Amino acid sequence: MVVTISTLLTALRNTIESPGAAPMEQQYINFLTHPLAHPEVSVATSRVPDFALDSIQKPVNGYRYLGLLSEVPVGFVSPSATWDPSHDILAVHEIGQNTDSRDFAHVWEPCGVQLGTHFIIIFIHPSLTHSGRPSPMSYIGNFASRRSTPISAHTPSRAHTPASTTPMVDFDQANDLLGFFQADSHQTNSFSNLSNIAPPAPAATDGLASLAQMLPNSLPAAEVLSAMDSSQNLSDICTALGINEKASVEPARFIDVTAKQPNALLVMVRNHRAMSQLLVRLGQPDHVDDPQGTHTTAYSRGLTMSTQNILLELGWTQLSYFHKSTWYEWAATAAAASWIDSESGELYILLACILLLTISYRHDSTAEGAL
Amino acid sequence: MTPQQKGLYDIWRGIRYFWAPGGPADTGIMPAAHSRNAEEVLAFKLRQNSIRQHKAAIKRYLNSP
Repeated sequence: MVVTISTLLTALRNTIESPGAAPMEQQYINFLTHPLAHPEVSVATSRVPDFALDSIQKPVNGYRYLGLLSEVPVGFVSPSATWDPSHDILAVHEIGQNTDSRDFAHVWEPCGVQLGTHFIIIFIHPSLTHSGRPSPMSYIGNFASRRSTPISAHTPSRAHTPASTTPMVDFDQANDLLGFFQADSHQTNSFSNLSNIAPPAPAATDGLASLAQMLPNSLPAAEVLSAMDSSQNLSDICTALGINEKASVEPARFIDVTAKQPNALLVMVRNHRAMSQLLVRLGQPDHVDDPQGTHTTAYSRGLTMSTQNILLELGWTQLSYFHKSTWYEWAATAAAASWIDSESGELYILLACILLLTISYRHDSTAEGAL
Repeated sequence: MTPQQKGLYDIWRGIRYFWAPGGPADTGIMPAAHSRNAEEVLAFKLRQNSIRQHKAAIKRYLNSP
């Protein structure tokens, strides 16, 4: 199942202060009810309920940064026609032998938790981020049932264990949410009938098989782009692929940053990352696979996608993109490396010298003996 | 450790903080300049030019993960 972050947050806002709602720590209530008062708070999601500090943000767990909480639109919003990485959230991963998901399901099953309708929202607060402590929150929406809509919250200081779990009984909001998904399903069908370019968005009640079609790999983009001819411009292509102009294209547009500007490096790194991610959504390789930005893809109906042209269209030079791809990728690798203790290094050199001298001495002694 | 090595080491510490999982590169959130955490301050001071200029020198001191 897929929902948007807007829908989940709106559902939470509507339920937290209702009679019988699960207790929630005041800081979360503040985040949810007054998001604009917390411009520093970001939201992220994950697909595996593994809240250990060293693994909560693993990409392999489906961790994704979604953006600032204050910028999430309020209201029930339909998932995008293809896949919007800044808004769409997938339910907890059910398939496979992931022990975290399995254990989580077993423990919370008596409370009505079903992984397929369970979503994880992670609130990131700067003061927590710096100590490596984002705070996860799980939202359980059993949208197929009118009776049970449990909610669980995980505190930052007790990130491994849910702080509270209380079933909420028969909320009107839960019914509203169910109605929203039913309505959304109809809207989606209507949309797919109107468009012969974009692939239809799966209905909210579809299984993981249909969700797999929405994942941001090159296949769905290739399918859409194969139906397009050479007359399409970047804006048309983004529209067809469901790429949001404000959320995905604008952040990728080249930002001319002066070195003296505060946070200059951060602005450049995020700008470059947004560009690389946009290229992937456009069916092109990212900065790791194509650091120079020279890749070109020709589609069957005549459309040719050139990374160079996309870069130019968004104000980049290939050289700048190449430099940043190289430097930032190296930095990411260097960050995961370890520093060789220079004293140890000098010791190794000293040992090597002693060994060399010993060999040399023995060689000389042998030579003298031979004489 | 010579002063030059210490300089390279500090740049790398800034890089390590900046690109760590959940770090500024991931979250878009920069540490404050007045932070008391030394690595946060180094990350705040980090510049693209430092990476460009000292990449090769730092590389000599790194073990691949």
